[in-house]
Amino acid sequence: MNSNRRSFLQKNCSAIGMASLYSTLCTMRMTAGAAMNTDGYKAMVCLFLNGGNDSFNMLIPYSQQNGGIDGYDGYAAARGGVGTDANGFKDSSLGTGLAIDRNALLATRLKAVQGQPANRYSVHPRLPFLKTRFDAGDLAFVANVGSLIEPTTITSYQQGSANLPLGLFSHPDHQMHWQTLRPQTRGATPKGWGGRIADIFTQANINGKVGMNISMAGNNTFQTGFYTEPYVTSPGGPSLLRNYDGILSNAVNSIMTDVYPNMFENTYAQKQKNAIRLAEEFGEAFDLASLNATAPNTTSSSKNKTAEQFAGVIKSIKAGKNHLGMNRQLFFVERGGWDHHNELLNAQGGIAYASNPNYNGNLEDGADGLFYEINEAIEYFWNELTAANLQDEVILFTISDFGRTLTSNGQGSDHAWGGNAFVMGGGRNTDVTLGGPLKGGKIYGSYPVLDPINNGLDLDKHLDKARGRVLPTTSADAYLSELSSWFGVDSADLPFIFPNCEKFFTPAENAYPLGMLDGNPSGSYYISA
Amino acid sequence: MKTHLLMIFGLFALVCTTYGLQTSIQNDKFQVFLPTSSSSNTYQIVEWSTNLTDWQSVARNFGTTWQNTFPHTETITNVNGTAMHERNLNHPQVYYRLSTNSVQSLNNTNSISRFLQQTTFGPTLDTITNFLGINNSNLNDSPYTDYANWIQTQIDLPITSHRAYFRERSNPAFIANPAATNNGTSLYQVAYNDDLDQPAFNYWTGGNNQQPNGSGVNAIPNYQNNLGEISTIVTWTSPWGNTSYVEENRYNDWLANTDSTGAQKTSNPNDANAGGSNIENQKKVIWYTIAIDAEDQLRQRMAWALSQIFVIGREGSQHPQATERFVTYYDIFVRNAFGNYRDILDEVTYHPQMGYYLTYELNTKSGDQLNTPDDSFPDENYAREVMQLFTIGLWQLNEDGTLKRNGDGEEIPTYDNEDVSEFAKVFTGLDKPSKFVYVNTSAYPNYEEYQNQNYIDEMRFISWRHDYNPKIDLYDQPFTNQWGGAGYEDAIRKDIGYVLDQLFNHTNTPPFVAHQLIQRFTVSNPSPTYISDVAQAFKTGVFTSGSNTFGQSGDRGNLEAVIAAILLHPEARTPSLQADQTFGKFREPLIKFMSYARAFKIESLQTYGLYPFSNLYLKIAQEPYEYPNVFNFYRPDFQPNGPVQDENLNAPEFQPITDVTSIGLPNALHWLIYTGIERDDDDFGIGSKWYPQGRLDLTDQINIAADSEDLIDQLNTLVTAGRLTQANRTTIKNHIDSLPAGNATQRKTRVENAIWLLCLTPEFNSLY
Repeated sequence: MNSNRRSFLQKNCSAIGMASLYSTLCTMRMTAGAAMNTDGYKAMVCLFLNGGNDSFNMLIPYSQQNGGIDGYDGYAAARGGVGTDANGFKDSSLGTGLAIDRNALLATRLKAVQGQPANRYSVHPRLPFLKTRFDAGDLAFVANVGSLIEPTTITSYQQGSANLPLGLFSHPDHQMHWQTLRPQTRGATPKGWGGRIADIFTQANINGKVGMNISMAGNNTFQTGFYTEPYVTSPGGPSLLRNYDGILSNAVNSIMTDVYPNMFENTYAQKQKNAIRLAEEFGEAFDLASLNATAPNTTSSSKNKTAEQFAGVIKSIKAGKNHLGMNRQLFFVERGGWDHHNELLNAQGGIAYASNPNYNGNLEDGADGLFYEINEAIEYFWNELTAANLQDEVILFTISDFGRTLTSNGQGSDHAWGGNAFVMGGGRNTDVTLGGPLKGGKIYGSYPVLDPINNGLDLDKHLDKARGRVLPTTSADAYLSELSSWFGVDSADLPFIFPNCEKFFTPAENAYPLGMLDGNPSGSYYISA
Repeated sequence: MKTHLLMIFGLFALVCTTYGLQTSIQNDKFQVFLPTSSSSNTYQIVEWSTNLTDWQSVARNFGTTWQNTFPHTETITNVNGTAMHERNLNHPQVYYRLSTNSVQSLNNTNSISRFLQQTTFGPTLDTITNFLGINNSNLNDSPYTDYANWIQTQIDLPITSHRAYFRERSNPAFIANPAATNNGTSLYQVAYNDDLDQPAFNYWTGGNNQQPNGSGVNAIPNYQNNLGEISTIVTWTSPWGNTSYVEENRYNDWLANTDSTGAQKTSNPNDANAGGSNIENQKKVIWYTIAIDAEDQLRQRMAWALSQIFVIGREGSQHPQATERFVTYYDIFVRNAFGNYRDILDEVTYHPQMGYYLTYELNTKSGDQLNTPDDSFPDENYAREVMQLFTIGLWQLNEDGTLKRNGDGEEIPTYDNEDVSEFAKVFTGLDKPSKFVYVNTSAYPNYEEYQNQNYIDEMRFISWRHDYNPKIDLYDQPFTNQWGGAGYEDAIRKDIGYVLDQLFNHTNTPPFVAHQLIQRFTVSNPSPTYISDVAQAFKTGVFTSGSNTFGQSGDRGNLEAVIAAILLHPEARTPSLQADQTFGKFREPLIKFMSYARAFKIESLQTYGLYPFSNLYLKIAQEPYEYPNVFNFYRPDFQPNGPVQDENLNAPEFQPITDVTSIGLPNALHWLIYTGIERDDDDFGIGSKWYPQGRLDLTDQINIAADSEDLIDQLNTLVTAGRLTQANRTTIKNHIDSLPAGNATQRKTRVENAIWLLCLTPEFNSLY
């Protein structure tokens, strides 16, 4: 290990705010080098739904709830009543309720699940591809997941005895929590968990010119480590610096390699030098990679911006795997616009254009809703993966700031805490030697009981009964540790990547706290935080 | 730089007191006495380290007094005229070192250029050479009288209103009337024709051109414009069939510029986007044109800075393609740039664009039996952001911007979620104003018609939606605003006013605002002293520098005092701070881009004085009205990896810098330098038309380009304010010298290549 790296670890094991326990780990890493599994090729793709997806309208109870009222009725009551027509489109005459009409959920009803309060759940009617993949075993949900520091109950929350994430319910803070997994520290100084993985994966991508982390959506803390930064590119690949040829390139190189008297100057020169070099190197490999199909347009004129980023991911996977000799890649894709204070049902579900007899445009029903775009993008991504036979090597997962209040603001919902996420990848067959890694077709974590009618609103999970803010029952640490273990992070390194994870599970005993990617076909898939 | 080392080993200290730092041990504390220095060219810094490798600043002295620094903000005490730093002996061991450095004072032209980089959208040869005080040998000495005079002159300049500019360009019958008021606030009702006592036109932005429209056109075929010129309005029909009315005097040359069929060669000049199909660009073109050409540069910079606090992001704003509602909102910051922060809070809160963006338009109380069920609640968005982003922030601050801590050393939140829910009830009962009714002009004369909605005038009040229940404030006290029979509008205003007053008067607000405004103008990491001094100007409303007094005593929130305190602080002005490698800031990409347009005298071609840049956000990660979200282009505490991170300091402007955008800026400037505002077929260029719409005029540089020394001297002042290193000077000179200079074209290439290389230098991209 070179001395730079040793100094980095010395410095940053303390910067991350770790107690002496972790210092031991850091020392160990410094001397031994991180143990990791970087065989074969694996990629993770993070889809960040920026703004706080109202995910209790993404994954919806459909039928019987154990020991209580009907699951759907409880959901509809918790959301203040039904707000859509039988096709799932907003019906303004119905008032302020935010629930999707039950009839609209029939077609997207998922296959039966076990271990959750209801035995049937549906996805939003504009997300039919999620149902297709779920029923085929290639997609799973993680219910009521959120950022936590330690296992937290409504009692410890109310009594103030729990250590709580700082800046609860504020966008930038929750976004930071999901990226740093260090919610007891404000801001970006703990760095991102994806960046920390890259920091210790020194043996991965040993031939690679570009780092493990690639972002299609700009800078982010998630992929920034103490030692590594994401390579940021556009979905269409990098642009080269103009005029960078001949004698001018010598002058540019000379400017960029100098040492300057000021830290802003040196930061700039370093970044600029890398950007110029990587654009050339990565651009060459990117251009060699091809797509099976181009990214779809949601309408004849407007691009599906999420699918466009996925197209960039697919090309980068092929460039990395086939041309740059990389064996681990972690991607960041972002879709904003989920902060639905003002209007939820139209914003997620879109408007029924085509079925309106007076409409003579070219928009399909719901095509202007975010779920339509996500559904189309996910389907495109899956088709690209399977066309290249990559589906067993790539896991897509979602994160979002927070879930939203179950109750209504009138037309929308407010910042809350626990929410639902999904994971997509090649499904595992009962024979562990066949198929992909994901035990799909299941809901992991613990979907809350929604039953305000009998006042059984699962009160132990609702920190604010009036507004329906749900306390997360699965920690982001458990969710993301599961993914990272599959990616190749050694269980001994999980506490470095996820500093609070040992509060929720024991990595040495089980590095797969959800049992979603653990390779054991009969293992438990239910865990409470 | 000379460095002296001093070691201290905690409780079991072996103390070396050599090398100039006097120390002693008293009351279980290790005391480090900080030496006095005299010259403003001398810079001293005391740093500590735990490993003798990584050093972090503890205290510094760049003139006459020692002060502490971020991130540690250790206490510096003064004992009998000697500054001293104390450390408990039971704290972990650290090493101390003292470094002393002298810098060569900047010459006056470079000092002025640096000042203009801080205060304008970029220095020009004229603004440097015409700067009063250019020959003053005391230019850089406190109280910085020449700089203070320049600031006063800028404050006194007439306001360049973006809305007035829009009206003037889009309405041939424009009459400027800044005095017109609506609800007591001057809103530049410039479309009102006093002669006819009616609004001249209403506006229509539904098509490709910004057109005056309506009966007013026919009513005044001839009129006197605000320049006193009599003009005739002529009708012009575009190739795609839209009819416009064009002021003949102003655009005679355009009218004469026809092709063989008699059709105009270029688009309707009344369209601020100069014929682009992208109506959305109109407000941005107004912004560029004002940034480049307006005289009131400091006001425009202040407006730009304030707009980055009270952000309306593009995503989620109502009708982003509209113009007038956005320029009206932006004008809040233009008009109040040197006004009062409390007024801005008020105008922002009641502006319907903000009401839409932060979702309190039609916000309704809980449990109204007729209209809302018990389980519907007022939206919390504005209640949260008005605290978190506009006034007090998340954590309690001392007046110097350092964090307050409780007995356990923990940071203390300014509010909790119960406060947010409570204040959400306050921001209920507001809606966008009534739509414009043409015959009822006196009530709502300001109206850009777009989908029949008025997002320009002050929001209106809807009584049944407001929550009149008693409320609890931040300090758990009941609101003391008593309404008493003055009507619902007064009641709602008092409710909102109570909250805004409480936030405005909160002890956090002065340092919170001071810190962010300092970051926009001068340095990313102001010292506690600097923040405290600017916060003091905010609190007292007044800042005095020599014989210049800015603001008014007792007028808390006076921004004239704040901006003067920021720019005339020794920390912004003292040359020796250049020896501190953490000093200064990374410049905003948009300001860097504008600075090239200004420095190299961009000319508007075929677009009547406008500079229609297009889609800059995609290229340089910054563009007017393209704030990505309510958290602006960057957060105040952003830390890029590398030396800034190592020092645990901040550099907000690095946040949007990626592998894409770091190449995007020099590539956009490449277009500007070598081609101009135009698009080409191998790239998208920086314009939206296939004919040139703007081009740099490099005559001042071409004239001296035969001598590379002369050229670099001029450019070093103009572009890098004298910061260019000897190495880069040599690099650029060698390149220029390798190019011929025999004719004007060759000399132009020399200039183009020189300024393109300069835009890649760290000296241009940073400011210190």
